[in-house]
Amino acid sequence: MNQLCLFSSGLELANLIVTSDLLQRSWKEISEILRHDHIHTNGLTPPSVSYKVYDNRPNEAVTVFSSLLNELTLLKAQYCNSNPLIITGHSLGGSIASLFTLWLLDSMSPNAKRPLCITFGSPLLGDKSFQQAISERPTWNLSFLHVVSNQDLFPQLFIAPCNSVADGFTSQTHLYKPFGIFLLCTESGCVCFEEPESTLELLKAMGSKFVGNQISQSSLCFTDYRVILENLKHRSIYRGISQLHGSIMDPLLAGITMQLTTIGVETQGDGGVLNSLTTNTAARAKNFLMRRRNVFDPNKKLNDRKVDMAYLEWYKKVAEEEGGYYDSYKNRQSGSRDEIKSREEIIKRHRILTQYWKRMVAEVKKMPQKEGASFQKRWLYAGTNYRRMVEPLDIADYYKKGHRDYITQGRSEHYILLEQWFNEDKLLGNAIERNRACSLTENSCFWAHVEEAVISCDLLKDGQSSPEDQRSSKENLIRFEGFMIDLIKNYAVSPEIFLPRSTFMKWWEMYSKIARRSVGSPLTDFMKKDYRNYA
Amino acid sequence: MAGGRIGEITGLREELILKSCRLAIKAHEKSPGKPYIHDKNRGSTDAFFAFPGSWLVDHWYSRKPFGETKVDLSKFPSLRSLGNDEAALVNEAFSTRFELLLSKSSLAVEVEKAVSDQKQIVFTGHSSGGPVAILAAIWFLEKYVRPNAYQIPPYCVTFGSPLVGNWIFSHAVRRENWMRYFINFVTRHDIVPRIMLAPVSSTEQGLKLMHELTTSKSQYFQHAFITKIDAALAFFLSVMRNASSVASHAACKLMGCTNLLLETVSSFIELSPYRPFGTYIFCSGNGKLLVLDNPDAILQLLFYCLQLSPGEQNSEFLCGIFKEHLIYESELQESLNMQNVVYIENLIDVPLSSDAGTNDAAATVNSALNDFGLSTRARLCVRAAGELEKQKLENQKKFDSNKDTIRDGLRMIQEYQTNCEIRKIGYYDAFKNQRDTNDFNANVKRLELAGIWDEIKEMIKRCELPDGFDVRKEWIELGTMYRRLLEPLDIANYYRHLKNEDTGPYMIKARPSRYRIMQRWREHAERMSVGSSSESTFWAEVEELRTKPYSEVKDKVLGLESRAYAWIQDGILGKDVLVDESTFTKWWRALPVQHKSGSCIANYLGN
Repeated sequence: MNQLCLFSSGLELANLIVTSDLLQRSWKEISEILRHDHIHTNGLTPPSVSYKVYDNRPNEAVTVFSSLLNELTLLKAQYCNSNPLIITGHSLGGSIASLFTLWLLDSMSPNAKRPLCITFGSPLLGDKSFQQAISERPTWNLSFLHVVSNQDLFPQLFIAPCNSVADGFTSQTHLYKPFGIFLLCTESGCVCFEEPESTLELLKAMGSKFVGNQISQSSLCFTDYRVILENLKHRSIYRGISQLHGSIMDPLLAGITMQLTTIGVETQGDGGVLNSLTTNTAARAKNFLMRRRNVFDPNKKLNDRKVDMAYLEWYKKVAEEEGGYYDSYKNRQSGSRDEIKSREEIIKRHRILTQYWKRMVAEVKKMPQKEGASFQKRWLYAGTNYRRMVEPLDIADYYKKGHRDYITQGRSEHYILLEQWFNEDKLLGNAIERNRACSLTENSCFWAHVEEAVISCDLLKDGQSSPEDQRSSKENLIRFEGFMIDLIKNYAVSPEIFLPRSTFMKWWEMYSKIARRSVGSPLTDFMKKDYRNYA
Repeated sequence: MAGGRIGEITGLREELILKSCRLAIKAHEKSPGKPYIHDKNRGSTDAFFAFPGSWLVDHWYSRKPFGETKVDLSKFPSLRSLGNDEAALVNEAFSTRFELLLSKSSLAVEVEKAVSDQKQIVFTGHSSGGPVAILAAIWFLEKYVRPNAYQIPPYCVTFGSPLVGNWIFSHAVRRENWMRYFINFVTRHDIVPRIMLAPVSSTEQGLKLMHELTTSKSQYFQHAFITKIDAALAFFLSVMRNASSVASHAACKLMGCTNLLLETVSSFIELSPYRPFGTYIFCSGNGKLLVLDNPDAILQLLFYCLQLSPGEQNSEFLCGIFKEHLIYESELQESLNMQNVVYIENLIDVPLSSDAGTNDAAATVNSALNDFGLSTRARLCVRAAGELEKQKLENQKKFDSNKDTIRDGLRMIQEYQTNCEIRKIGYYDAFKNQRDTNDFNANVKRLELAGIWDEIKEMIKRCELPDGFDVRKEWIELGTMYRRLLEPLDIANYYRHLKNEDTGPYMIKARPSRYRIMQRWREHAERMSVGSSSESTFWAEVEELRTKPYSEVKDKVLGLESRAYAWIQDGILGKDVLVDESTFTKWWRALPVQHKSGSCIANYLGN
């Protein structure tokens, strides 16, 4: 493949937004409430919720949010599943709109249309962790559109060059980081930025005109975005810049240069060369786009993983002669060259599959809970199959090394989550009732239970063990018996556990000797005659 | 990149273009009430059909906001996407006008006559006569050219025509390689070709205004215009703003904007679905012509060419804009005399700055772009359209290099099939049993091939391959072979794992979309009816039928038998389905005697 040619679509996205009336509609709602109540809802489509500027203490967004909690809870219940929904606010009202939106996103049903939060002239809201938490969830981050005019001082409040202003509110200005998308606008145009570092730098550059001027708190006057938006909308029919300095051939760099020029940020340094702000912004945009392109796409490799699974499936089949693949894997010893080779193959496939699914699970985990649920559906089948096929191999390794208590001590988190998601799905009514034995044991920790039962038998047999150990071992074994009977009744174990020489059969041999009961138990009855017909 | 005569670039003789223009305008202006003008000069080798336009709002929009509807696939079977199995959208009002013409006028008869006289047929239309000409040309292509019933492809020449269909419409025309037959002339400032980018609510008044202006005598045009200046301005602004939204939205996608905000914002606003297609020839107004055939770039130009420079928003300029819809004939005459033509084939080399131009070719292109007032932003959008097209070709190349891997895989599966047959067991059943290493190896190969095809499928669905990818003969053959050989194995795997019990029948719940696409490829290429090339799903039908009592599925059994008979006759379905041990044979033999004796495949399976 040849090198990808990259573009930056900030101008186009911004133009789409300002020509679409979306902002005008939101601003109209805000101007309504400036005259009325502090929260305004509009039943027209799309419904929108807006907040007014509360007062001039922007660092208290959270306090105000808490004080409005009762009203907001009602709103949330009312609008949680209505869509499409626009949430909007001006200045501090915008910060509250953001918080409310986050709250809403957290409890949205997975298939609901995402709400859109539009803020006008709002100050930065959170720190780096706040920003990261949101940007890890792409669908959250992109639900926020922050409109910032260069005439508005408010958004500058928590940004370093405005320290003189900001000091009045807080001394930790460098803490604040942008999140979501910013629509930066001036009289001559507007641009969208998403990459947070550049956004911050450009906000600073736009705000530099405020620095040095004596700004008192009273000059934090009201900025009417209606006028600004009207102007921007009108501008779209006029031709923009048609000359570029020097001979920029790279479309990305050309795009960034135009964007900065549009919002009135100087792009040239001494001698007419591009300044570092421009080149850095372009470099970051490039990085950002490349990262986007290389996001983990589980689709791409799923078919490869199916090949790995086919190998394991085949191994499972071939190993039936050796008492099943669990024991074959556990007892692997040096054999012929071919045997070693095929074992190495299995170990390799095992490793690749585990890497894939660990990564997969980590990605799903990052998604907000509900969003994860819809995502899982597609992968649940493959993930469950993987867990049932491969976890026994991990268990085999674990007990081979002489460890105990796999389920509490040794189980990898990704198995736990895969199982948890599967169970959640089952609760949604996707469970299947079986009338013949499954080919893969449903409980992927089955062999860990067997191993624990074997250990209990060993303890019982061992004359040296303490009476306490003896008692708990007995209890364990009785519990295990019940567990087994349930599995068998539900056809939830694979017939291969009854293969001669399997760990399960070895356990049964030991156990039936120890138990030596006069009265038969259901498992004894089953093992006496029925197991050969279990299928 | 640059230069060339318009006749050479379009493949249509210039005198025919001029004549089209004359007839189109005549039909539109001077022959109201006539459904169309048919110019048949007995001695000539050409036949013209020119369609009049109309300014009635009902003739433009049949519904709000954009008046589009699904295309009638029985009349225009090609106008759909094979990858996503979706019909194209067409403007309903235009489409209705054409349908009426076809059913109520003598158009079909006269076209038939022209065909029997072996004429070169040219459809033409000015203004909203253009869409009718376009639909007539597509109807002609479907009826005569696709079935190879007529060897001379038609031309369709439009002048200031509004847009007709959505991106699938454009995609399908490109896929069929018909776009070269559609030549659209657009003067730089003519507002009519942009109208469809705006919803009816903002153009309704404008259409009335256009009607008044165009029917007033030309010497009074200026006067009529001045009295309507406010309405004209409002109309112009709203069309431009809507065009701007559409162009920006398209540009975001061209630029690979993966931004989800784009999606969210788009879900809150309504954008026009209409897209251009064919060759567009933009006329500068001073005799220069700019030729493009990339639909994405054309869409951008439709907006950007009409952007104003500061100070242009005055009544004189505005009046000029409205006049431009009426001056095609003189404009064309002048342009053809001058032959100052720039054909931008290679969009990725478009200079970004208006002062660029180090070498001659770039300077020529640059001066043309300046003539059409294209800013750096416009040029970036055009570049992005070019890069996307290039990327699609690269993707295609990448898959072409996979062909041998696919062939090797198919060969291996063929050998597997042959080996199974030698052992008197069909490969379907052998695979389903998974008894020995050969079965395992076939399974691995099955998954490897699925990986390659799924990647292709994903790209088709996301439109990341050239439009014509779906109709390349070699790939259709490869896809058909793959589908026939491998789909039975996927079905075997499905029923081996009893997934039908958990999930449902393979055909409904589990059939991979790669097979669905490939089946559509073949059915489209061979002009078969939808669903008729289902031989590769034979086994899925058998598996479902054999679990049900005969009395319930009698008709389905009969249907399957007659299709199987034909497929075996044609060698499409392997005879290995008939071996004694085959699931099919065993099931069939257990059917009621009465049924078997009358079955068309009894000869194959009778003892």
